[in-house]
Amino acid sequence: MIKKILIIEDDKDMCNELNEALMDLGYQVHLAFNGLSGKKMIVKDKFDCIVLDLKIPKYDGYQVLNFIHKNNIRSKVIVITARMKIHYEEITRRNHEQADNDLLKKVDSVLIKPFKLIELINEIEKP
Amino acid sequence: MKHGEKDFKKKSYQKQIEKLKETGIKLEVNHKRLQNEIKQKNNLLERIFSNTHILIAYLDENFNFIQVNNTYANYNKKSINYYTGKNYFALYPDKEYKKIFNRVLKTGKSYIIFGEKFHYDRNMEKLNDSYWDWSLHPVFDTDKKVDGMILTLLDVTERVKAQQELINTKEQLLQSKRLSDLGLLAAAVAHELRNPLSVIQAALYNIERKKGKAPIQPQLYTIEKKIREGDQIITNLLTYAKIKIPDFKKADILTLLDESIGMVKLIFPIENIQINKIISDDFIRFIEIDPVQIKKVLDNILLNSFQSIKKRKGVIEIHAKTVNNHMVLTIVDNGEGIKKADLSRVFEPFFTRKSRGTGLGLSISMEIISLHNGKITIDSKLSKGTTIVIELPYAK
Repeated sequence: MIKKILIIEDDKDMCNELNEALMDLGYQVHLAFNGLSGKKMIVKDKFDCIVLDLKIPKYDGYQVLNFIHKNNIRSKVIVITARMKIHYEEITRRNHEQADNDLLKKVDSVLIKPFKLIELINEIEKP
Repeated sequence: MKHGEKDFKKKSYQKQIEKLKETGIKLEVNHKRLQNEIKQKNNLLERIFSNTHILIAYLDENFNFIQVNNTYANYNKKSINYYTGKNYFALYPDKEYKKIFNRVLKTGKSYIIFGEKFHYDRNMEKLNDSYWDWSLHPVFDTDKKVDGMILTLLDVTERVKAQQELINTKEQLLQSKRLSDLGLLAAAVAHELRNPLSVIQAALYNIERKKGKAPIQPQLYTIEKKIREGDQIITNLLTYAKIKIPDFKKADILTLLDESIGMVKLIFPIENIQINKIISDDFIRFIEIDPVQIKKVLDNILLNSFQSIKKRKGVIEIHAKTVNNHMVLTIVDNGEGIKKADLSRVFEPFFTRKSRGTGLGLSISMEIISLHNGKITIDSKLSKGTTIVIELPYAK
């Protein structure tokens, strides 16, 4: 059962809406507005689920994913991103290592923005 | 007459005859030498005249051919003698060229043109387009009157075609660059717009969930804010897509500045940022600019400053001065600053280190300021802040 959720997302308005909705459903929600503080929280605490935006300041989403993978963090990982696949390839070619592609394959699910909140809740609840 | 006297005279005549003979021979030799020299010189001129890839014709003041060179005759598949005495315009009637020929005759000034397109060859047969450098030079008599002219023609079709090919290739390159820029732009804008949309989507879920049980003011407020953000992104895109020649008008820069500050405060309503305007006494506030474009520049710079200020109390200073017929605006913030390595790239389109941003703000600003014949410079220190200086001439 999922109880404790960490949201790493730099848009504070997005964080507020997600926080309000998920708290109402009885989850314990923690927020990080950049990759660095997200990473610190992952080290300090154990989360059942991590909701991660890819384009965040100070350690982008890929670096956080890499960290999760290397440290064998057992949390469910849901990536939320505004990137579509076709654009994704082009942008990654410029900004990231090809390895980022493989990192994305290891996460539990990827939701493309703008997604419906019920989709996120379903992904969180999915066993 | 005495016999001796006679003899003497005879001898003397004979001597004179001998002398005359000698002179005659000398003259004859000289004459032959001169003739040879003239012949040689003629040959030389003839050789120069004929051994060239330039078509040359010598015409009299009535445009009758006096002489053409081999190249001219060969090009038209005629003999050199064919031309002698014939009238140029009887062979090649053309009103426009006749005007040009007459003008050279009247004014005594050469006519020279490069790479002109001819639709016909010199036999008036329709032909693939050819291109020519051609000229008409007046020839003067001893009274400095024009009594003839030299026509030269040089086929430069190959050169012009190569040039055209080069231009075409360049255009194709530009076009494909524009397309790839457009692809990047579309990706950046799609990405940017999806963020505020996803927040609106989440807010709608919360409104639906509360349904009269709890106030929905915060969600309505968030939605409105995200719509403004989305609108800003679209405006940026449109501005970049069609930055045009400025529509110059007299405008009050301080009013524009206040409008910009108002706009940015709407987007960042709760941030604790103080804005200080420092206006020097002799500052001239009215200036010839495109107010819409310059406001866009101020918007972009202030937005950057607001976004760069995190945690601690932010201060943005705006200095306005008039220096040497130029308006100088300096915007100083105490935000995060920019890495030295990134500083030279901030004016490149699509360059951004922000998690939210198209990377177009400063390239748009740079483009607009250069269209105003102004200057925009940036200086920054990481974790100290950024200074932007805009210089604009008062008169365009």
